[in-house]
Amino acid sequence: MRLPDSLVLAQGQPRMGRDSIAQGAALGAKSEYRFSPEGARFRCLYRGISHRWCFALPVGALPRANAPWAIESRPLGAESSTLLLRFAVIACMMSLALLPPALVQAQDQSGEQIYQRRCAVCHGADGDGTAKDYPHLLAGERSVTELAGFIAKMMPADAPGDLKGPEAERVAAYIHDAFYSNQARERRKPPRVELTHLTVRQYRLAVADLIASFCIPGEKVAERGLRGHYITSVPKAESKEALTRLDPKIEFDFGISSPVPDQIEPRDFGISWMGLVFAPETGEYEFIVRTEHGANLFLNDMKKPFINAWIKSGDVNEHRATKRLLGGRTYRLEFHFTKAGTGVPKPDKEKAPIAPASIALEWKLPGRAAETIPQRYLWPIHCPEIFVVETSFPPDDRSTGFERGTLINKEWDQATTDAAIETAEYIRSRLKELSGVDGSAAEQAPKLRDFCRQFAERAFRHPLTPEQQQVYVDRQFESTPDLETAVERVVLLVLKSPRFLYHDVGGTGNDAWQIASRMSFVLWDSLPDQELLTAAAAGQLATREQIASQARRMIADPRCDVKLHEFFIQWMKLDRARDLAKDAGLFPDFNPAVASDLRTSLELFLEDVLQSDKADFRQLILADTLYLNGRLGRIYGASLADDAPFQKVIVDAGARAGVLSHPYLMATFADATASSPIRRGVFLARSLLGRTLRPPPDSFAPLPVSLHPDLTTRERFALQTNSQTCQACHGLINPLGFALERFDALGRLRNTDNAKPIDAKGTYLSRTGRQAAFDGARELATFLAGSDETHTAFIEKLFYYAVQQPVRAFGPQALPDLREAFVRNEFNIRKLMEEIAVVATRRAHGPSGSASLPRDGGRPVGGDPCHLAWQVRKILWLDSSRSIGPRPLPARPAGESDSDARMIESGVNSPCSMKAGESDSPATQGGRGLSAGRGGSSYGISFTCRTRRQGSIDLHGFAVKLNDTDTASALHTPGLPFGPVPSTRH
Amino acid sequence: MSSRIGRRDFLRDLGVGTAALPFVLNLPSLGFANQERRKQRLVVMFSPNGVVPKTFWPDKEGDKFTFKESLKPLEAFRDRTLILHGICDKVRGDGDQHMRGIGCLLTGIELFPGNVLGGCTEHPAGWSRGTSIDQEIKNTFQANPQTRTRFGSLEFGVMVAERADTWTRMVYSGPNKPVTPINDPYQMFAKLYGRRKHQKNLASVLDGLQEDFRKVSAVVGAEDRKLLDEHAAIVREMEKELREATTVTVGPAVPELAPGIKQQDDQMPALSKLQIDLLVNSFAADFARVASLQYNHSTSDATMPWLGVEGRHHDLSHLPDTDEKAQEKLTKINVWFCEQLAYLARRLAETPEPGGGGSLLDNTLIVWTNELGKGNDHSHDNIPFVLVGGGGDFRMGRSLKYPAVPHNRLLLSLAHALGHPVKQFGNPDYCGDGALPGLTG
Repeated sequence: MRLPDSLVLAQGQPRMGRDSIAQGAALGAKSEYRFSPEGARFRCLYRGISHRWCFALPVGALPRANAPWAIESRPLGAESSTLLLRFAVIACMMSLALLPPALVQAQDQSGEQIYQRRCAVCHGADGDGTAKDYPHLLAGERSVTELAGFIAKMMPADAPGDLKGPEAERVAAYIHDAFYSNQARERRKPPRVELTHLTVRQYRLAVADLIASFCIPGEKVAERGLRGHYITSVPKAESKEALTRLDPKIEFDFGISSPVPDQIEPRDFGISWMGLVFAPETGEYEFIVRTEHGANLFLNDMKKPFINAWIKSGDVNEHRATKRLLGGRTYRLEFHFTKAGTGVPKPDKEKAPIAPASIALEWKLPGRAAETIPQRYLWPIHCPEIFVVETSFPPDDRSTGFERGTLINKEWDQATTDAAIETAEYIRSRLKELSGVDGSAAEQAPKLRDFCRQFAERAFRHPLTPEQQQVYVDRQFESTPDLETAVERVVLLVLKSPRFLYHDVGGTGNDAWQIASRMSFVLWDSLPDQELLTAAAAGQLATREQIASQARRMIADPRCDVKLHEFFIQWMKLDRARDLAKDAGLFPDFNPAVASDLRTSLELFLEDVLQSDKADFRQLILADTLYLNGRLGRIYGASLADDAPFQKVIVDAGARAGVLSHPYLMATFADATASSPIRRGVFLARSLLGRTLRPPPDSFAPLPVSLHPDLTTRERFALQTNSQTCQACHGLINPLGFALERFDALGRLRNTDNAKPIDAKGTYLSRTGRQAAFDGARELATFLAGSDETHTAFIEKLFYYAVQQPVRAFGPQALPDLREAFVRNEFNIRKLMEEIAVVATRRAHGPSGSASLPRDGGRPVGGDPCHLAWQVRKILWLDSSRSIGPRPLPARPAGESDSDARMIESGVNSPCSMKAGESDSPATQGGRGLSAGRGGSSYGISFTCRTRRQGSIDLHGFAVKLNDTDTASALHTPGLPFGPVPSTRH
Repeated sequence: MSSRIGRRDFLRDLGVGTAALPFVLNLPSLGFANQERRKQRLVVMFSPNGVVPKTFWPDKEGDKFTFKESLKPLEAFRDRTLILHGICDKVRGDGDQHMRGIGCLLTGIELFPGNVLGGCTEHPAGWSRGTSIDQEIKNTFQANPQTRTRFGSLEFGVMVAERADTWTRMVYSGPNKPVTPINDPYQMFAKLYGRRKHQKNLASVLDGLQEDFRKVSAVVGAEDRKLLDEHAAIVREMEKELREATTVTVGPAVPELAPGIKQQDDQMPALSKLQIDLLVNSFAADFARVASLQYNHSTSDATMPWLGVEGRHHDLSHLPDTDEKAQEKLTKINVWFCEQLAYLARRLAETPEPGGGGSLLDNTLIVWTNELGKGNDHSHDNIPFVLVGGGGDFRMGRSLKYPAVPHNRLLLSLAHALGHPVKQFGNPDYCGDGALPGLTG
């Protein structure tokens, strides 16, 4: 085989590939990859460790614009910044002989060549722009045709019109494919598992659970309500308990009578209610005490009343206070009522008339109207105190749809400092209860150190190494004689540490602790609980089934309910739709109480679907029932008594379709006076079908009705968006939203709009080009429930929300596998969470550069393009002074001579899986190699790396072979810059 | 009535951001610079259950008066003392004399009806209907950047009963908004200097934290390392700021508190000293320019064994004038309170005014008062008002006697003296001819 002599060393942007190679299946799983069939020449490009790893084989001369393919990986190992590992480029270049003659002839006219010759001078070799002439990315949304037209007319800037039709087309096709289009950009920078820190939600939950882990957990009980103790004449010494009973809610009007007529005088008595309150979601809760007498409410903190209204003063009969509660947690509650007043008792009080008495305990959930705390959230037992961090944090980045911890700024860092101080203060104030440490100073010191070690280990989700024990605990105790100060310092250091603040940096690779930590954050947004830690310690998180089984347990926990609930709120875009108000003239029946009831109705429906055995996603959009109470029944046409509680009813038979037509959503996605097909369509396009829509170029107000008094809403919206520009997006949005036109601005069913019959026909052009048509909500729902696109979008969104990483960062197979499992499990949302937990947990790599790969029967998990480079990375592992995996690197004798240079590699359990099916075993040294095959013939590529020591300097050798032939080799000496690598010709 | 109970306010006070550094290090606040008006401060000191008039009030008016036994400890501050006789709390309405005595003392307005039953009235009361004068003045100070301080006001207590009711609350931030005084000097210390402690702790762990960042940074990939490096740079910045901050040594030293003093009657002398020391420190550090120092509470039944006094204060105060022993004991008790006032005055006089000449006392007005004029008749006439210090532009070194004027007029005088020229305060019915005459003349 003859190799051409055009060995080119490339340095610069890694080139990302496409074609089947980039699909990656061939790389990870089946270990086969191809050169592009048109490949005439390819470069092997290998970028340095400090940057992105890239092993690329770009195809140079192609008859059609054909992006090079590449395999790319993040750096994975524990390379030290102290050790200079700034590889520039070691590359070798290989060309293949026997080029098809036709291709050679086509070379001059390839789009890429035209681009490089005429365009790159301004736009940069890869469309990244140039500082002087065009400092912008060459990227956009135009189609190839549009682009070609533009180029033919406007480009090159110094000689417009130079590029004739076919040339413009070729160059347009090239840039579109290479870097201009969304897909190309994504290809160039494929999603990867990025380092993220805890979101604010996760931070608060983690700190709360961390401290709660030192408390005796509360029990569970099936009863609901509060235990009421009815006491005669408080606060006199002779008062006694006359009655104890379970009260479903606190809403009593005793008038001038007694709650227990035969035993308690109506003139003065007291009641104490004990129990706890469950917070169904995270947010600011307002509690409201209503009474014309004295009352004290203790919430969570039993030392200090949350609402102190024991002194009745003036005509104030209502007392409010707000508290942030974390969803899925319970808070101890004590509520005391006194009719006796306080102070000096009067012996002759019988003279005065008996005053009427009433008492109520209400709350106002985030975004809801005040209501008496419902029975289902009250439990008649005790639970430990929950610590809720009050420090304000800047909001998390939500630019990608869901919260994600990727923003670092001073404000955030300051918040983590303040929160750490707040937590340290709290721990200090309750040190005895939390640590259980009492007794003499001599006894306390070792016990407190132990408490601190546990605190650090739970916060880091990982056992401490002796060295870490020294840094985080021992050193703090040595720095001060005051034990409490030492504890505070440990808390500060631990909570400021990146090991606490970031995901996936605490451990090594895929050890059981990392797995436990990932699971708990994916399912609970918080730290692992004791059971999970026990499983990790016992090595019971090794297999898929073990992980799945833990996941099932965790999904049954209220903490997961809360996480799922919050997902749906965000999925339905309700987190930003706080105040739902309608035109009072048009809709006099609609008021905040109705809006609040609608929200409750939606929550009940969600809970109904999610808590059912099937937890069927399709039911969310197909169910024909609604939860209505008396107040809603009047508006939405159910014959219910005015004070009827919420119940499941069927209204508008055959017209309703789950959340799609739920009046809360219909009213939210509407204007104050009329329905809004656009807002509904956007919701359907984005949330249900996962389409990306750009924001409109300008902000538009809906056309006023008065301007077109004879049009229906549908006609008005169609008119407003009928321009070519608008139709680019509204061609997708409107026909979806129109299908819900049978629901007015309140979400009531209607048959006419503006005295014309409703037209609820809609269409959707799928990504694969199939046109779907539907008439009304039910047909729309049926289409969506059966659409792959809906399922995929749902999986992608839930995955991103749960893991805070895109599913595609977990390999090309992750999404198809999840989709297949979703279908197999009959769209069970909880099962999907389980699958997501497994996929996200057993990842092949993470920011911490795991070096061991969990395996399923020898198949690497997450066979993705990164995998090849990851393997290469391991082979090329250069820093022999550190371990990058659970297994230490082979020790190398000091001063090892050249002759016994040895291969340094890690991941001993991961023999290279990169053999092409048809290729010969690649010749390698040390038994590691990679091979590539093309069609019938195959080429083996092998890499070897050697390290040898000369004096005190490590020399890293690197060799590439193609089909058993040395093509390039390089030697790197730390501290010296890389130059072009001397290549070897053959 | 709405309240927010949480740690947020506390944290805001505690924050260790750079904006807080001047406070943390007791640096002079911005008010120091270019102030047009001298710094003025107010302390309201309260002791309960009335006084013994015959051992309290000087016989003579003017500057030739003689201190009687109860006020003897003020001898050293004779030139800086102003004794006001004939000031009467005329506010009536719901609640017993003690409740109204303390609740209307600084507010000058009636209590709301409520469910607190007094000992000698048919009309139970609730909280006060108004803001107290110290909070009114604090609000004025806080509204002006020149006089704004970190806390505005500090409420010290010495053995105030740990129960919130009309008898125990003197300071109101608004109608139905009683302010709880802080009894525990350690808690007050944490409020004043807690931030400093956290700064110190933070500084002590930063080395470990940087080390941690380096290690973690070493195990993540290059792209991710960027994020960590950004974060580490912010941490380094914080370290630098902390280091700069800790090398600055302006402001008074942080007081060292004797440890382990318990909240019990026989510890009152020690508690009183700690609270006064903290108060003086907080003034020197310009944490606040308004303070209250509340000893016990109305109807307090404290025992004072260190005075050799047997019996409880409130019980003793009910005994008739003819009970000479009781009168002696009550006088002893008031002498002790006066000693506390004198100690406060001495500490202020010893402390130089930061950024200016003279002492803190030159710019501080102390007002010592009581909820009753006399204990055994629960009189609201001749409420003791003893003023010490140069904070108010009053002509000191005198004993003045007024013809039973409503105390609202004195509250107005206080407001005027501290730069808040309001026309009315509390119930306007008692504001009559406005601020009291003859105070400055």
